[in-house]
Amino acid sequence: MVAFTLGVTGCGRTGLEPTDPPGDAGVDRPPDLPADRMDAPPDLAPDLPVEHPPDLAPDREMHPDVPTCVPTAETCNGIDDDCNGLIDDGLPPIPCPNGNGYRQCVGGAYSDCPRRCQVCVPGSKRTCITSFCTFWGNQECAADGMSFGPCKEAPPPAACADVANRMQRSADLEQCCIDNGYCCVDEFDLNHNNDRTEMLGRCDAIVCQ
Amino acid sequence: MKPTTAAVTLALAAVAVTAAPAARAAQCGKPDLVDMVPPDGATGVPLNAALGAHYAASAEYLGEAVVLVHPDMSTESLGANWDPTEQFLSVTPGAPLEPGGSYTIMWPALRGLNAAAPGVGGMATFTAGTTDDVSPPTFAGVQGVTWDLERASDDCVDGLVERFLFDIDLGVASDDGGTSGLTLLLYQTDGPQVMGTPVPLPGRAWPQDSKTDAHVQVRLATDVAVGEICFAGIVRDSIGQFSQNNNVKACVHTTAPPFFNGCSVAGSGRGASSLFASLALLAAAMRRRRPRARR
Repeated sequence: MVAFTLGVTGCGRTGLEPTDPPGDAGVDRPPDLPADRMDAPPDLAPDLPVEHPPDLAPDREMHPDVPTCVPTAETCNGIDDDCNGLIDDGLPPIPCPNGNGYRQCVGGAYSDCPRRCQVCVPGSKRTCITSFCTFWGNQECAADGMSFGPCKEAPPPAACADVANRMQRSADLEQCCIDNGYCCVDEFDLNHNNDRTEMLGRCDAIVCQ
Repeated sequence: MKPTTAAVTLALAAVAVTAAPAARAAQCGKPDLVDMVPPDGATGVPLNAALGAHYAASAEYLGEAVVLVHPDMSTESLGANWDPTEQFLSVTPGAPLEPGGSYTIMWPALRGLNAAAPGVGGMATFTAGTTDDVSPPTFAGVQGVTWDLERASDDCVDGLVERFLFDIDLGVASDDGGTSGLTLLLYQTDGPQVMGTPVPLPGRAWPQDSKTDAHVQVRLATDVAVGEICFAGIVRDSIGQFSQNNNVKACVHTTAPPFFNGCSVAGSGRGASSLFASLALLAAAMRRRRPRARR
């Protein structure tokens, strides 16, 4: 019976983690309140008038002779600034530095310059500091360049073996990693910019440019 | 350079051995060819078209030759332009294509930044049209998007990776040079890490598999694709002209995994007693929710 119940009620794709729902999922609301009064107490009378700011559409509809569009220079903002019926038209792409592609006006804003990949060059490896055993490890970039894999333990190079043995997981070990030409996760924020996920060192073949 | 026909045949055979479909491009860090513009079998290619090919993100261009085989079987080694951000290798033939002529272009296997072995190149045979590409292309924009979550084995990390998979419906695109010379440039315009500046996605050849309802699939990492996710796009034609700035966006709201992926409508219960029990459970669930709303 339970199985049948699940069947007839028809569940959708539902997050199992507690998340902020985008709308009103899972929250009961009085059925007869207007949408913009859903935050009102549930015992509030449902037929109170709703005040709109004076520039909203209902007021414009009452004065059809008021011009609806004042022509200005077209800019990339998702609006028909020059009142020609086209949005963001005639805006040229902006060349990126070193001739690497263009920034395009799409969706009402100029885009970023294109990059080789999203997070890392596929197949590249960076060094990570583990908290056990060798205190040294590698993370390989996924085949699509969108993420790094887990930090897998590996023996430290000879130049850092002594530091790893004495200092274990430490800023000194990260510094040794950088000093010896590796690309290292800045877990100890050695450059003091509060970013412990960035990479420092020789990372040219790893970062997306 | 005018080698003999036998030499050309050998060259074609060598490329054919190394050429492979895009499915093989999934191996870790391999700098394989992804697609070609125009694709293999294209017809009506504009006489002034530039020819191009996309490669995987790890590819590195070190001056490898791009060879164009003319209708008379003579070959032309072309100097290529490499765009490392789009991973796009492009060439412009030394002279306009011959109207109606059949050409073959051989794209080289490139080296990778992190791979010792070269990747896979490609070969495309196409037929020239009769006119130049003059006007910029038009594109109706992205028309819709659906999403799913994909867990796939990854050769590089030696485990599963989670990706949001977006299936994007494309509006009509047209160009006086035909759609075989178009490149689709998609952008993520909304998302947790977009911050008001659309993020370019890898450019790809315009999909040729369907003439009516073109669509493409886009994969994004989970940390950049939870919540309200929107896409917009433009197209570029064979001479580098872009379609008009496009304000059309398609959006979808995604949910962070893990999630419960729905139930079937078909039930396995029998008879009225099962239905009654189902409705009773549903009513009980609704009764339990009401006090929460009045708090």
